[in-house]
This record gives sequence, structure tokens and C-alpha cells, in this order.
Amino acid sequence: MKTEKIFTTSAFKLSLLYMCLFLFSVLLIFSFIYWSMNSFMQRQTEATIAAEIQGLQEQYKILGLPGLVAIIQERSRQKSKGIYLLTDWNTRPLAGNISSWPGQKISDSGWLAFSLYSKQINALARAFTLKEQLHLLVGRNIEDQLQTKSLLLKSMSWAIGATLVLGLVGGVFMSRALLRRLEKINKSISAVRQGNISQRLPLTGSSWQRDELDQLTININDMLEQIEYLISSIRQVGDNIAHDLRTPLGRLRSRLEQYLNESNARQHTEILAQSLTEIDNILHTFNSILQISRAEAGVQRKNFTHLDLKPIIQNMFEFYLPLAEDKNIDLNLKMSPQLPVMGEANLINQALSNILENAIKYTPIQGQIKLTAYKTKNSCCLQVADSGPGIPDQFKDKVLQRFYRLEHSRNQPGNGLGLSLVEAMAKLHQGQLELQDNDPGLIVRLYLPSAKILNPEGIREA
Amino acid sequence: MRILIIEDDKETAAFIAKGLQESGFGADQVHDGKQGLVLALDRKYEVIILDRMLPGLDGLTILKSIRAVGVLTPVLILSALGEVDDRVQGLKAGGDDYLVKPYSFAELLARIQALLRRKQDNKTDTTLSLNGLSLDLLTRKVSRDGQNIDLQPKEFSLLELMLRHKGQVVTRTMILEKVWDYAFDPQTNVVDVHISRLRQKIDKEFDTKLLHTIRGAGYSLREN
Repeated sequence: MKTEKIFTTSAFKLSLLYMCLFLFSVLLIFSFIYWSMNSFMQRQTEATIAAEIQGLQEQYKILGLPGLVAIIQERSRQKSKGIYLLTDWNTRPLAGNISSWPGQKISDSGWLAFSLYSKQINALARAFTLKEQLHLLVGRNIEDQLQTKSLLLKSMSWAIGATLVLGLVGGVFMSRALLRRLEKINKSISAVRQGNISQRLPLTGSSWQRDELDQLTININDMLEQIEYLISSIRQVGDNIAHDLRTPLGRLRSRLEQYLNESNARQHTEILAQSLTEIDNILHTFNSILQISRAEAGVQRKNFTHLDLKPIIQNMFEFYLPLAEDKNIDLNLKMSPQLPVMGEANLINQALSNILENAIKYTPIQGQIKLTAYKTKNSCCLQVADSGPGIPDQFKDKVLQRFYRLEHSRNQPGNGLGLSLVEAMAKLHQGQLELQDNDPGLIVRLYLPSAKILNPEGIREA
Repeated sequence: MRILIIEDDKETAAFIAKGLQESGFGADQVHDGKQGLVLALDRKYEVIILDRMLPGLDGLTILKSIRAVGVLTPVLILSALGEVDDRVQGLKAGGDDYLVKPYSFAELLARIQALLRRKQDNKTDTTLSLNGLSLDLLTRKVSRDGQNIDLQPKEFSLLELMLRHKGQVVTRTMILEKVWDYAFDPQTNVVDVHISRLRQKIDKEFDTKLLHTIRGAGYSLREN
């Protein structure tokens, strides 16, 4: 696994993005905390100093200058954070706990910040001038406050640094995990492309742990399933063509060979006519196989349109009515008012034709064929029920296979592809073909999913 | 009457040409698309038979070029591609008829005759008739020698088709396409049965039989 790959994965980019957003929010919060703390401490100090000054003022008022000096001396003696300095008009110290007036400029508000003993102690103080031209400085040692602040800053920096590192590391790990899963999928697909079509991709864990990658894997597996089925269908078609077309081709060849050896001219015409018929049969079989394969590949789906089955079925009924009447078969039709589907008219016609032709072919003289079309919850169903010999249960699946003919119908015309085509066509339309006993006879049901259509008023109805 | 055959398989082209000549047409064959285009634009033909898959220039491209310069010669497309989609494409490109290979020569001939007839067809005729048999397109009434004949809708359409092509051969495939709009080949002789029914109604009680079966080809509505 190449390292550059990790940094280009979407997982890494995403975790990078999350980390930046998180960092930004954290910075915002930290700044706020720092600023709040800073102003709180500042205000506290100022308040304390103000209180001190207040106290000193009272003393000065009551006891005058000596009283002030006394209290300053007393407070200086205490080991508190207070800073006091009383000087004369020449800034010569009179009382207090610092040695000299700080050099800093006094701001307009009277406040100043200064440091003592070569910056080892930081202080904040207020300076004023008393009416005897004495200077008074009252302040507080804010060294511990400054230390607290720098500690806070240090921890915040460490926190941000750690977030950065953890974020990057986390991102790398997540990407690696994702890359590993994708590599597995890619490897499996490579194996499939090399010919091992039965390989399936692995899924992670149990069903409640399924995520989007698993869903993708499931979809790919389904696709592989379908490809495998199509490939085996193609193989099967090849086998069937080889097996079942060799027979009529062989017959044709024999006939033409016979023609060459036949000296009777009248026989010639006979043989040639039969050969031509044989060729037409073979061509018809070819066409059916092609149709079935195309239907199974799903090629025509892109040309599907909205159709109403009613006129289609009506036409087909009228088409085959004379044929049925010739055999004295009672063919009747009953349809629901609206039968909307999505599909291709030509394919549906072909399928209906196959079903009806089978019914007419196998129903004996004076039999009955009932054609009904109705709607179920989600589909339109076309049902053809005949009174012929029917199909025994054990063969109901087999007759849908290509080229399958039941024993008793081997002598009837037909190539055994009729029902295979109907089934392929049903599947193409995402419908279904059902065979059921009619006792006596066979019921063929073709289900096609309903489509929503607009009636003349433009109202949609299902 | 000359017919142009644009078909790359020499044997097929020769076969068609021979058949056409035997039926009274003159035929020119070319085996290349570009040559075909040149000839189609240069000379006057009654019908052009065009194979879809050609070396040099694809059949449909030639067709579109011909139509683009205003050549209205009827074109019959021959193709191994037989899907509904292919058919629609061919007709949209300007073709007048579409025949899927392999076909019988009788089919080809019948369709050529139909194309030639179509040219002369007067589209504003409201009545079609032959020898006492009369079909009114507006009132949907049919009569023969004054006697009214009752026809089902599809029987009417079938008779209309036969009358429009009176004297010519109409094949089963043509009937399936034009009367029923079916593009598949039923395995049973359904069309024959429909013709029989029609024959019962329009011919049975009359002396002159008009609806004939032409062996190996189809049917024809004619006097002899």
C-alpha cells in the first residue's frame, strides 16, 4: 500500500476537514476562555486596588497624613500582595514596601503596570498626588496571575497540538482501513475479470454491521450473479443450437443429396420444395433463439413505452378467432377496462401469439379456450385457459426450457421455443409466466407489471 | 423501368438482378456504397434496392444523402438487422419499405410492385373498386354488384389493402404488417384463414372470382 495513496483517499481528506473544523472551534473556545479569564482577573485586581485606596482615603480623611503613613507602614509589614509607596514631591520614599517610584509613564486614568527587581515581579498600580504634593502608589503584585495565564496558554497549546497529531494519525488509520477494504474488493474484481466468474466479494461481519461499502459489495455480487447466469445461458444456447439444429440441417442435406441422385424430374420439384420448407423452419428457429437471447440480455428495455394492453389483446383475439372457429373451438374474450403496462408492443404481440397458437394447436376440435385479461394489485394478467391435454406437473418447468417438447407433441409442428420466448419476454418486462392445470387443460398466465397512465382528463390512475 | 441494386454481396445482387430482368425490369447493380450514391443521383430509377450494411458508405447514410438533395425515388431497404428498432431507423432515414434477410424473391417482387403502385396512387380517392366490387373509405361500406357486404373491421382493412394493390401480388408478410401491424411470423396459417373468410364474403356468391391465391407468393385481387 503506497503512502501517497493514503493521503489522496476521501477518508483522509474527510478526517482532515473534520480536524480543521474541530481545531477552529477549539481555538474559538480557548480564546474565549482565555479572554474571559484575563478580564476577570484584571477586574478583580482593579477592584481590590480600588478597595484599598478607598480604605486609605478614609484613614487619610480621619487621621490625616500621619495616619496614612502609619497604615501604609502597617500594611507594608504584612506579607500580602499589596504594593504601597508614599513619596514626597521629589519622589523620595516616605513609606511603603517598594524602594523607588517606577519609571513607567503614568497613563491618563492614573493606572500603570510595571515590573520590579528586573522583571521578576509584575505589578499593577494606581498613582495619585495628594494635596500636600505627595505621591501615592497603591497596587498589587499580579505575578501569580501572570503565571496562571501562561500556564493556561501552555496547556491550550499542548491541547491543540495533540488534537492536530491525533487527528492526522486517526485520519491515516481510517484511510488505511478503508483502503484495505477497497483493495480486497478490487482484487476480487480482478479475479473475476480474469475469468473466475463464480467468485463473490466478501462482506464484513454480521448483517447488523452492514454499511454502504457492504451495500456496494452486495450490488456487485448481484451483478456478478447475473453475468454468470447470462454467460451460462449463452453457453447453453450454443449447445442447443449445436444439438437441435444439426437434425434439420442434416435432413436438408440428405434431401439435397437425394435430389442429386434422383433421376425422376417430378421428384426433384418435390424434394426442392421440402428443402425450402426445411430451410424456413431452421430460419424461424434461429430467429426465435436470437429473440430469446436478446430478450434475456435486456437490450430492448430502453425502448419501452406506455401501452394499453386492451387493444393489443383485442387485435390478437380477432386475429386468431377464424383459426379457432375452423377447428370449432369456442374462443371467447373478457377484459378489464384498463390494462396499462410499460413495454414493447411487438414483443408482447409475439408472446401472446405464441400462447394462443399453442392453445389452438393443442386444444381438440370442439374444445374451449377462454381468454381473460384482468388487473391484480400490481400487475396486469393475461390468462389463456384451454381444454386440451394440459401439461403434467413434473414437466411444467421443463417446457419453459429451450427446445423442450413433450413426448406426445414431438410430431406436431413447432420447435419447442415458444414458451421459452414467452418466459424470456415476461422477464424482460419484469413480469412472470405461470402454468397451471385447468382440469382438463392448461392455464397460462402472463403477468406484466402495471404502469400508471393518464386518462383523458389528465388524471393519473394506477 | 430501371431498378438500382446497391448490394455488396455479388451473388445476391446478381440473383436479384436476374429475377428482376425476368419480371420485365431493367436492373443496374453496384457493390459499393459510394458508387451507389453516385448512380442514384446521376440517373433516374423507378426503385432503389439498398442493402444496409455496405463497405465504403453505410446504407442509411446514402439514403439520408439521397433524400437531402430531394430525390424521391422509392427505396426498399434490405437488411439482416430485423429488430423493430432497426426497422424504425430505416424508415425514419427516408426508406419506403424494409425487408429482412433472408426473404423470398416473390416477397421482394411483390413489395417492389407495391412501391411502384404507391407512386401512382391517388391519395384523395374515397372509393376503391374492381369489377363491381366497391369499397367506400368514408362510409366504410362494401358492396358488389349493388349487393351490400357486411365486413368486420379487419376484413375491411384487408380488402382495402388488396384493392389498393389490385392486380399485384400481396404477400402474407405484407398483410401482417399493414393490416395487423405485426412484425413477427406466426407459425400457423392464420393469414390464409382470414383470406378464406374474406373470399367467402366477396367471392362465393358471385361468378367471377376476384381473390386469388398465388402459390409460393401470396394473394392477389384481380379479374382473371
